[in-house]
Amino acid sequence: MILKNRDGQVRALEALLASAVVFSALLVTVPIRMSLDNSRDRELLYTVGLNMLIELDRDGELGNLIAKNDWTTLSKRLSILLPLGVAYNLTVYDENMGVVNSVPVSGGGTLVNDVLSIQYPLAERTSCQFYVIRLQLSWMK
Amino acid sequence: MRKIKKNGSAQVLILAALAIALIISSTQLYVFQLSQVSSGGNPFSPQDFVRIVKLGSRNLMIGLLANISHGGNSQALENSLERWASFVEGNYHFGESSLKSDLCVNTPYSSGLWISWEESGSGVTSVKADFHMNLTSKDVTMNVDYSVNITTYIFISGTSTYVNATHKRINVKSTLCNEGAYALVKNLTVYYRMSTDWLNAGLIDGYSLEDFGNGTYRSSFVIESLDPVEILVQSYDRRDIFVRANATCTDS
Repeated sequence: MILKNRDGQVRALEALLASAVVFSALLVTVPIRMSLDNSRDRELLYTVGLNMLIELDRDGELGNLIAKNDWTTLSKRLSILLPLGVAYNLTVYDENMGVVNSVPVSGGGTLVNDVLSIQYPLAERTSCQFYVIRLQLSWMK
Repeated sequence: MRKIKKNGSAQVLILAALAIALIISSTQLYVFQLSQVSSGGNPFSPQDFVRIVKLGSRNLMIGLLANISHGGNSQALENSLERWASFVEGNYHFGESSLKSDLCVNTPYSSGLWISWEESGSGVTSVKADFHMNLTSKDVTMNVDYSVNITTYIFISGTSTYVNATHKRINVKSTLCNEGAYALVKNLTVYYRMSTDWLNAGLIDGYSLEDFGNGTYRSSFVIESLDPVEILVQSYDRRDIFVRANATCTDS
């Protein structure tokens, strides 16, 4: 026997439609939330990177390592101070924007998308030379 | 005639769902916009730049003072600060910046420097400058005044005690300070005067140097002398800034 009263089916369809509307709103806002997360990640990465450079520079060690061309020690310091899962690449420029580091100062893996760059003007103590440090950072995804 | 059903629960349900969807979307957009305002799309802030420049100014003045205390040209101070200002201005990429520096001329400073090594019992090597920084970008205008003062003090005192008819034990207490706080030395040398020459006490057999770990050091040695003994202490702090002081030992 076929049921003539279709109220139940209509209600089910209504409920389905209503939930589809709600879930579509959630789906539409997912990219916004992801973008928000990325923005927070970048802020965190920036804070970590900048504080690390400032800590290294506080007692003049950063300038000292650059003046001595001690890229191995500098790379070790960065690897220790940066959290795991962060890839970095550091380039040192002189006052005329010529690259100073003869070897790459990098570690933690390969820089992927969404690379953050920090520019850090530095005054070195021993010979009073000025450098611009560009530190590129990215989270390993 | 067929009766039309007036039950509108379906429309209410859909409307409610639409309202919920709208609330979810608007809340997410609001939160997103708030975060955009706080971060400005770029995490770099002018305050960070000021922080970096302050630290750079301090490091530069430490380096310059170290060079000058080793006998370097004091004219380099003004030239280097001008170079630094120009360098900083050229490396602010979010608007315009200007950095001006004034070397302190108030007594006891002269052209930013205060070097006093001839006072009995203490020595000072110091540099002081005031900076004014102005940053202008799309949303922010900042004026920052800051002062950098790098000072290394040494305080010394000496006592002498006869160990026999012709020999005296000399005890020299030296205290080093950086900006008023006790600091460790990188190197400390004690000299004593014999007629017109200053002789290194560290070369005497039995010379001892005790480090108290808090910026205070005690040197002890025995010399042949009947007169009051003049001592001279030369020191480099951990920043490589040189300072020296002389004193006459008191008999005890």
